[in-house]
Amino acid sequence: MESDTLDQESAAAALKKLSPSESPESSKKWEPTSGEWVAAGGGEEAPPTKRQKTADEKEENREEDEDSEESVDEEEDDGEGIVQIGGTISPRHFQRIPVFIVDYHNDVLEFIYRCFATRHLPLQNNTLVHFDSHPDLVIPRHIAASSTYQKETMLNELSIENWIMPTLYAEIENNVKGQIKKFYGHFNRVVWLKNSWCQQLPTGRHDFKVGQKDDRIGVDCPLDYFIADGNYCTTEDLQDAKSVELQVHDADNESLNPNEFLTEKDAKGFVLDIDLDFFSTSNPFLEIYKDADCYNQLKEIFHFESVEKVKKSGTATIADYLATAERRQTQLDALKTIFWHLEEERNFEGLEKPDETVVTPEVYAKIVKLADQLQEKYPDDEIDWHLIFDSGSTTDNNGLPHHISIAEELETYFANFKRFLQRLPVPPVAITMAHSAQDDYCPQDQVAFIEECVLRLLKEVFGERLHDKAILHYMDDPWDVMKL
Amino acid sequence: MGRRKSKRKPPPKRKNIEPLDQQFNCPFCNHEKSCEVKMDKSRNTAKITCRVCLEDFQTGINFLSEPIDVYNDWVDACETAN
Repeated sequence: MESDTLDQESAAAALKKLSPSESPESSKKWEPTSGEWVAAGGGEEAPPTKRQKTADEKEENREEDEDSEESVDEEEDDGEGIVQIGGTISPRHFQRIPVFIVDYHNDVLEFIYRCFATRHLPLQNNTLVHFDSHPDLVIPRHIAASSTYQKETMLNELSIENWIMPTLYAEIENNVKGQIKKFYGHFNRVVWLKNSWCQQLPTGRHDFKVGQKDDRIGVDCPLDYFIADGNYCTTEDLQDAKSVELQVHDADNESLNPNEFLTEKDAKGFVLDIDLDFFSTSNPFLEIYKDADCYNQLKEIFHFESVEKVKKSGTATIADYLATAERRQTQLDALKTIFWHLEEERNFEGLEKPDETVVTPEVYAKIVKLADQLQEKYPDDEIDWHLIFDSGSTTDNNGLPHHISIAEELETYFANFKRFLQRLPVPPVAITMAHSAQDDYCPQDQVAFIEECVLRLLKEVFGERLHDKAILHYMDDPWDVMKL
Repeated sequence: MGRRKSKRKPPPKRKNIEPLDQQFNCPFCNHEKSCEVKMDKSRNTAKITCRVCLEDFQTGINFLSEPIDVYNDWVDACETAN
């Protein structure tokens, strides 16, 4: 959260700062040329001004207070339309592009939510351009869809793998023409930019619907990624469904052109998000209980038959998708029961044998073998069966990438990244960044160097448009969106 | 669940988030911490009032808004007018 100590200072600063129409930033249109962002002629329209609250207006407002539903002005229906009684509120603009750096990736939501609240970003229809070695598009099963408007729940319960999807679904209530209207989704487009050694999702454009079924978020996208988590639903089953666009591109080639998925129309809602593990990533689960060859054994235990084969044959039906999703869900539930029992009891005694059609005797024997080998190599109190289950859950068909980049590769990736930035049709409203070092996804001996290089590249391309100093959330830097 | 990007280690416990200020300096009479915000989340509106000079201001809010956002809207409105 923002630092409390800055609130009063912020308001005082706001009193002194230029009004939006006087701001030097507000009348400029920015165009990239030769890798630099320069001011161009013509200007955007200044944001609408606000009326001073006069004594008459005060009286008016008192009346409005009694019946505000009739008197609230509407601005727009696109989610910026937070309304101000007795005046029109315009979006705010950062004086320079802020860079907000966290360690755990989900913590960028703290900043993004504040940008929504202060109208630096519209409440809806934003675009997230997401450089990462992981899609982070897991759907959190433990969070009710109806909780997606509870900021504290989101900030406390979401984690690194699942922080994006609730922002695509989020139930938003907004006051439009005095009536509370419901909208869904802060972002309606996610562009996942990866290197070609990441295979979790196929490249291309995937249009699908996100909604809720029985108060759980679901999608009608029949990709293995969603089916493997049991989050696939038929379109008919989804309630409060909203269309979203997911694009997946390989960024390790010279042809990647952001103009294919970004236009000037996206200028007010474009968030550039960079996980530093995009440049070099490890799979931390490979190191877990390595002496017992744990990860390879888990791959066999957690294997499931993908729907991809049927899809490729061209005969896949919705019934196939549903059946696969149900089989996978049943399998994971059964495995969870076993691993949870092992965590509690430390052995197989008292464990009811699983349904053999779900966990076959061969797979069960593999679990027994894994337990034997772990107990042979490690003291019992070092064996964390919950962690082992989580580790196994990551092994499904297109598991976690492991690519620790050498210096030459990093140089190439940096060059690709810079070229991408130079080709942007519009600069981002804000840049969020994640170290992903504490969770071991970005190698700890590389992360500082990668951060330094990325910040340098951002500075080279955006120049004076970029804030001089990034906000280091992971170092507890105080921050206040109203001062940026 | 099938968590592709699970945490290997539990994260440090999230710091307790202290409640943000509810009281602010009045932009009209300049009294310190004399303005209080009432958020009506059911109607998506909020009102800030100075208990000293009784100036007030009402604005729309959303589920992410904090009292400081209402105050900032008031300050912006004053500043624009001036």
